[in-house]
Amino acid sequence: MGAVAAGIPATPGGPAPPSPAARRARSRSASTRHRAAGREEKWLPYVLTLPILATAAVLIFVPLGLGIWVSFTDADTLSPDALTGEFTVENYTKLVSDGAFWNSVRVTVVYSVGSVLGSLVLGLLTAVVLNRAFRYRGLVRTLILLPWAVPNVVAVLVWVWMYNPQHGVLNYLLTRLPLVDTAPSWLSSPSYSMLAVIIVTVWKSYPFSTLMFLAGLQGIRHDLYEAAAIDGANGWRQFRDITLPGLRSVASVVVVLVTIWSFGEFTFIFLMTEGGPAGATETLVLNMYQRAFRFFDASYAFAVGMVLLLLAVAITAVYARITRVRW
Amino acid sequence: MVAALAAVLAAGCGGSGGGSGDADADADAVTTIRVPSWWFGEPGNRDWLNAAIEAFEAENSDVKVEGYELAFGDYTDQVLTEVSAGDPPDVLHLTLTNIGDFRRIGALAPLDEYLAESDIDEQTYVPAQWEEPLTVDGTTYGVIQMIANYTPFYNVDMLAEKGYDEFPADPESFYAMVEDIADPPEQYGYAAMLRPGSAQQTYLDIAQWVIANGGRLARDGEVTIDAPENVEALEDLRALYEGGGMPLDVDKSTYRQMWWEGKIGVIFDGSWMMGFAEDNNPDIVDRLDTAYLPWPGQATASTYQLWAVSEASPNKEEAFRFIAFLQSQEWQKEMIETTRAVSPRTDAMPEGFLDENPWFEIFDEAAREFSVPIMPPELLDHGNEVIRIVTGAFEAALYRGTPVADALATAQAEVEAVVGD
Repeated sequence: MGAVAAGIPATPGGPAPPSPAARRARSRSASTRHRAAGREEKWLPYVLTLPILATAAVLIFVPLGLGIWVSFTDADTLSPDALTGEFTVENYTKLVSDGAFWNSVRVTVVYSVGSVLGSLVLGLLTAVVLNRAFRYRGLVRTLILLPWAVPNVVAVLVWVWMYNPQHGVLNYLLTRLPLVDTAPSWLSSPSYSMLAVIIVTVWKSYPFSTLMFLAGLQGIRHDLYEAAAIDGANGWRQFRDITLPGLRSVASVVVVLVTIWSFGEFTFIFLMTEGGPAGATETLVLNMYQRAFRFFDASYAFAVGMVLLLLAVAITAVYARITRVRW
Repeated sequence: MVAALAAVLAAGCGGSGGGSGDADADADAVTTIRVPSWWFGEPGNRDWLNAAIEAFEAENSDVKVEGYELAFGDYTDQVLTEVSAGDPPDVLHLTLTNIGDFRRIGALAPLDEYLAESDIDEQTYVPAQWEEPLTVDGTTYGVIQMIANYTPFYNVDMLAEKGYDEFPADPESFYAMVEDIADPPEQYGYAAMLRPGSAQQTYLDIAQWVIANGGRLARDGEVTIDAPENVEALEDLRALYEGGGMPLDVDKSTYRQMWWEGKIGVIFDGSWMMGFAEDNNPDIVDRLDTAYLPWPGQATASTYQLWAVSEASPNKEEAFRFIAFLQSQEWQKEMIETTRAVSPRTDAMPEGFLDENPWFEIFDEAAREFSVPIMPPELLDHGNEVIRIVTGAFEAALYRGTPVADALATAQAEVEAVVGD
């Protein structure tokens, strides 16, 4: 029987080494603590996210569920009484033959595509500029980001005056260009009103794209450009073969976010044209608003909203698949 | 959609200063009634309203009036949200074009038992008070607060400079005058709210032309949007717009300001504009005058602003007491003097007022002799949707080049489908 087994200290003057029984007990205790810690780690994320989930449930999921419910009734208003209405699918069958609804779908797609493309292109261009070192770069960066800081309503009021066909600065400058005889009535022309609204939307949203792309550009390794330059690649080749692939994941995020935001955009269009002229800028959101708050037809408005939601989810899913983004 | 429902739920949970009275409360308790109105934000109008509130509270110590401003353009949205949440204002300030929608959803309380004890009756009030949309199937849901008639309000000097000593008495002369006065961008002959962005205001201006030309959007229970008189009226308005005599793409508040600054020769607007001109540019007041519309019959589009009581209000008696006070002979005289609005009372013209303000006589006469409701009763239950359809049709004619007849034919079919539901 060894000294350790006999409980005799292994070294003179030191503490007695633990007995096998004590070591087994200690091991069991450690194992228990480890399992407990494992259970705690398993539940901790859920506990920590509980407050935000509860908030989201109250402010998003519950109203969303109620909205879906109301869309299957004939409720006129958004009152709690709407939930007790008779079940009907009439709102959805009405959508199929509603010309104004399909016009809104078309307008929404055009507006969304235009806003996303404009924001993407302008954001990328400005990010590339800001990624270079030059004098007064800080000032230029501030000016480029300024539209983001302007309140939406203020921006719209200023742009409405800029678009005025007789007194606005835009037409004043346009008519001074060679070969331009007449300038458009921006907000009262069905052809130009959508362009006018898209311009304002892009002007307001491109700083976000700029910041995202700038962060992405600064994550691309410089030695790739050096190597490309040594191999004889010019600026365009470097941009096409290094920069764009390097920004792919950033671009996918920008596209998804700006698309979702454009689907829900209300302020610009409502204040500039209220969906006119003659429905030329009436997106699904405007259509919903008219139905709910002007025509007092809440259940139909929610049916339109459901279509809008499904459209946004579908487009997001398509983008995610195309760009193979793992969420 | 989610935000809207969340807002309604939050509004319903919110505490409210309105309707705080309790029927079983101590007799000394003060009942607070909530009264939102755009008048609280308009010069002259708010002076009258605030003075009336102060006087009412002095005479009715058991009632406190919590008046607050809601902009005209936002009024329906905000009030509808409060109604939906079950916490509506006690007194609603509505118009001819939206009372039908509010009545349709059951938001308005019948007022007959209160009216029976007031001095608002067929001897003291205009006949319209007892017709649709205020009185439907024998039940009254609103009390006319003021009558808005739209007649030419013109700048005498601007017309005189171009050789017009009197306002034109026929449409062709009127169109010629507008083009003669116009010198864009410095000044224009006529202005109307034709910029996309407010269907309600555009409809008011479109309806003026239709009614003045003898047209109607509905007659004898039938929808008549594509009637020849309507087509002719809107073709003339479009021609005037395209002729360059009108400012383009300006909203109503902007062209009203241009008018009282002497940059627009004539607008078709209400009597309250004199009050606005006095407040903003007193120097121009002596150069302003009114005239009959230059169409045979001088039919003027007329709309009402009216008071109603919420069906869900727990303070209906107090709310109507306040309405009756505002519409009393004494305070209607004050309203005319302060705001220049036309009263629905037949006994409220202040002595000497017409002598001091001869321009007002046409508005008063129009209210009693020539006024035609701006929205036919057949269409009032879906007033807002009809407005949207009609203005959309005119915008298609104005901006897409669609023939007016075709645009109105499309509107005819759409409105028939709506009111037929």
